[in-house]
Amino acid sequence: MAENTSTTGAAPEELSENILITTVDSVYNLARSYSLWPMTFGLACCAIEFIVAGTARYDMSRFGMEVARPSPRQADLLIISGTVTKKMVVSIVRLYNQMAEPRYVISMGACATGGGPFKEGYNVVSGIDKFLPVDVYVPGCPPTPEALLHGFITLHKKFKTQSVRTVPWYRKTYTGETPIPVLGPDIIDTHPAALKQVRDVNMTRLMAARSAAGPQISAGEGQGTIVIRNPGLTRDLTDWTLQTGDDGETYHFPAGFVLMSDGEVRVHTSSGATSSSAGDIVWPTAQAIGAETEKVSLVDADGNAVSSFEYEAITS
Amino acid sequence: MSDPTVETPLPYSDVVPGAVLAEETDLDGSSLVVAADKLPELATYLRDHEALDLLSNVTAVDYLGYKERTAEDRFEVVYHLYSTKKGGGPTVLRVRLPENNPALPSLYGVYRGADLQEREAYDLYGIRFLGHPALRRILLWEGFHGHPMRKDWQEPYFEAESKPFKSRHPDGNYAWAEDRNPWGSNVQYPDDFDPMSWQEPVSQIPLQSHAGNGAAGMLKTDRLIVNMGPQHPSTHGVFRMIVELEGETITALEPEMGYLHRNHEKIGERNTYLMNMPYTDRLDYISSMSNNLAYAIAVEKLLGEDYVPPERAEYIRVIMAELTRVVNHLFSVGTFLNDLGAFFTPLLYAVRERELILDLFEAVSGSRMMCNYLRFGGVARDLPDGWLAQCSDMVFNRLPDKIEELTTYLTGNEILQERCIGVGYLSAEEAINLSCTGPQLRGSGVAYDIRRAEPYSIYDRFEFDVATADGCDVYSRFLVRMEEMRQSVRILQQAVKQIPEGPVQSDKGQGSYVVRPPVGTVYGRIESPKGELGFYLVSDGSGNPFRYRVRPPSYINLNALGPMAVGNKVADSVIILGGIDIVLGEVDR
Ligand code: SF4
Repeated sequence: MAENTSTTGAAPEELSENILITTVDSVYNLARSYSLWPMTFGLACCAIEFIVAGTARYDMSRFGMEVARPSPRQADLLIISGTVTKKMVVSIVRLYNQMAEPRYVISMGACATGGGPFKEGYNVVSGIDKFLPVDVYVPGCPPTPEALLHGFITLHKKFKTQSVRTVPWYRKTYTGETPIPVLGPDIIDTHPAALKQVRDVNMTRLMAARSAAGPQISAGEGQGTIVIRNPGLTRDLTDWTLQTGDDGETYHFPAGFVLMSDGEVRVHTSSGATSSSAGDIVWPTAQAIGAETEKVSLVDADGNAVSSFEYEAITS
Repeated sequence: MSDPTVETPLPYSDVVPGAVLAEETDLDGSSLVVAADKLPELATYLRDHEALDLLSNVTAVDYLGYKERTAEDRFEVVYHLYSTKKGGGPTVLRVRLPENNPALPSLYGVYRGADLQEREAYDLYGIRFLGHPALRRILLWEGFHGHPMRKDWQEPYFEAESKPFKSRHPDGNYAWAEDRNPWGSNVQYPDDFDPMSWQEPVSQIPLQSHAGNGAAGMLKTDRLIVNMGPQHPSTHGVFRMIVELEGETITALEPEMGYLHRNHEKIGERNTYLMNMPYTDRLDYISSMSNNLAYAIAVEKLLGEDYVPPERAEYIRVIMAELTRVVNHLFSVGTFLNDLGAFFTPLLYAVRERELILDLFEAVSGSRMMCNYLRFGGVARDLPDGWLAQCSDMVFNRLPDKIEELTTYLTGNEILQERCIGVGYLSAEEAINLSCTGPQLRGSGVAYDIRRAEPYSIYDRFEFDVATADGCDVYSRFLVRMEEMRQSVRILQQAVKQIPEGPVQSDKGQGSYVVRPPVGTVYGRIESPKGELGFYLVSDGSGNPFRYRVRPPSYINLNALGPMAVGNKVADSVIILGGIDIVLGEVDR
């Protein structure tokens, strides 16, 4: 074998038969791909096929992965085998964060991939990839054990494309942590971007509801008092009026009268009523409203009644 | 019926006056409308004097929008009572509740088995059971927005009230549910929800220590709370137990579930009747054929005479159901041994036989696990050529040997006996009171098997014994499963010999994809490998079930988990759970 050793020059004659020249990456990837330690983790129906893949007929030990580990700290392959529910995804992300790097995720079955037959369910996450990075998707409902084995082989192929020089998990700054979602009125993704999106959408909806809401009037405490509340946006009440139904008395708001958002103002009626506190409105009427049953309406500048209520006569 | 001019007194009006308000006719019998405040009194009477000792099914129905229903009787809680002593059909009680205050007395004090089912009705319907000791959410989490099974509650991906959805293909293109939802995924939040300022509520699971348990002896130790699951290798899926320990002895155990709650019932009410058939496969995914059978039987009760399956189909159904029982028990015994510490080896042997049976399933249905093989009025297709010969070989030659092999290695095994005998004690009275069914009940010496007590399909033609064992412990449940496999093989041998030629679908059932049953309610049940599997259906005459309720045996058997585990060692909690034989797809649905 003299012609072979000539290129390296270092191998002694007696060892030359035993030396293989290759790249670090090939050895690294070969070793990694045949010593995957999946986590003993099952979610639903697909988990049964995962168990069966480990039994005699399918025997996934052939691919160097029979050492299933119940603890995430000792595992580097997470097989999401079944429907991911909102209640469970919190734990799944936590488990993923605890696993050893480099870690991989196989999404097994229709449910884990996209919600499957249960996608429309209110407690179902439509695909684990909404929360975790997935390396291989295995289709089927459930995928047969053969399909799962094919998923393993596909994962091995993925290994071959990785190089020890570029993989992220040896970088100093790399953590690989995924924010853990929390359970609120619904599942809450705690990614800052996702949180912001929820807030933005909700704010938009809230603002739309608010700008649609007009001021409301109701009976205030004490005879002859009306309260105007504004649950909507700040409004200018110039040219708005308060009207009573029967004798048709009208109060015109002063020009430039503004009712703040979330603000309220009290209106005192009666002949010669005076304001009891600053900022209140006084509406001089023939007789205090409420002495007899009557209807009071708030009318906007265009003459539409925005809000009204019936004043029940207080018989004391 | 009796002469309308003569007033027949309402049932039980002499013993519990004012309890029964009316007697109604259902599609499969009659039911009693009961006044809410008299319910516990009537139930106590029925339990003590009418031998109706098994509260099998408790469920709620939201009748919003149902004909002739108003806000005054919008909700209804339905109870199915059976007698383990006399057998036969159910006594059905209905309590009607108003929309504004759906509350009624809990039956926890009369039947402790009401526990989990009442909590479920509270969680999904918001019905309050007064006097229930721990009325908390069970499938969803504390803080969830709304009660999802109410008819006016819509899920985030809501499209229409019933399938087939017309909205799926506007302008001829598929419309993604994601695109319609403002958040682009399967979530919805109340209008005023702000995730930045929101605080997670502190959830506390109260453990109910059982008083007077001095099992820890003289030694004074600190109480310790141990959490097992939802990711734990021996909880058979995503199930969680919170255990309170004194030393190594369990003083309280609280199950926590819902980690696989995938909204089977809500989806089921949107589906057409036939669309639900493949979903039932995914309930108890170890024994899909049994689930098909229970559902088919319930719907056939609803559909009436046109859908009575022909002879051959009945035999095929029995063969499939019994093969399923063998598969289930093999798997259950295998994983049970796993829990005991005999890691994987017994399971390897059990799964080997299971694989051969799955091959038979695959040959008839095209799928190993999710068979979707039964149809209303028969089965989807006839057996392929040579199937029966293969099956006969299996049930006459192979299975009996293999079951004996397992028996030889396991039943007499000293370690197995040491670990199991006397562990997880559950007396017969307790088992019945806790609504247990299946091997769990028969392991306490109660010979109650629906195949005998209220025969369905053609089970009255076969010779078999109801397997029981009266040790009331985990070992007895194991023995019952082993014996049931033998009995199933016995039924299979008879069925394979007797099966006639002929059609496998009733004339009407042939190719009928959308069925519209008459208005009414039915409850159909079978003895599934895990216990009583029932389907309670309410039809409003349309093609979709108005109410689709699954009575899941392993969920209800979990009522007994706490009482059985208290006083045992923490290591035994996993085999007590293994002895119940739960499948999470069915527990959480
Ligand atoms: S993909 Fe199918 S088999 Fe797998 S978990 Fe979902 S429903 Fe079950």
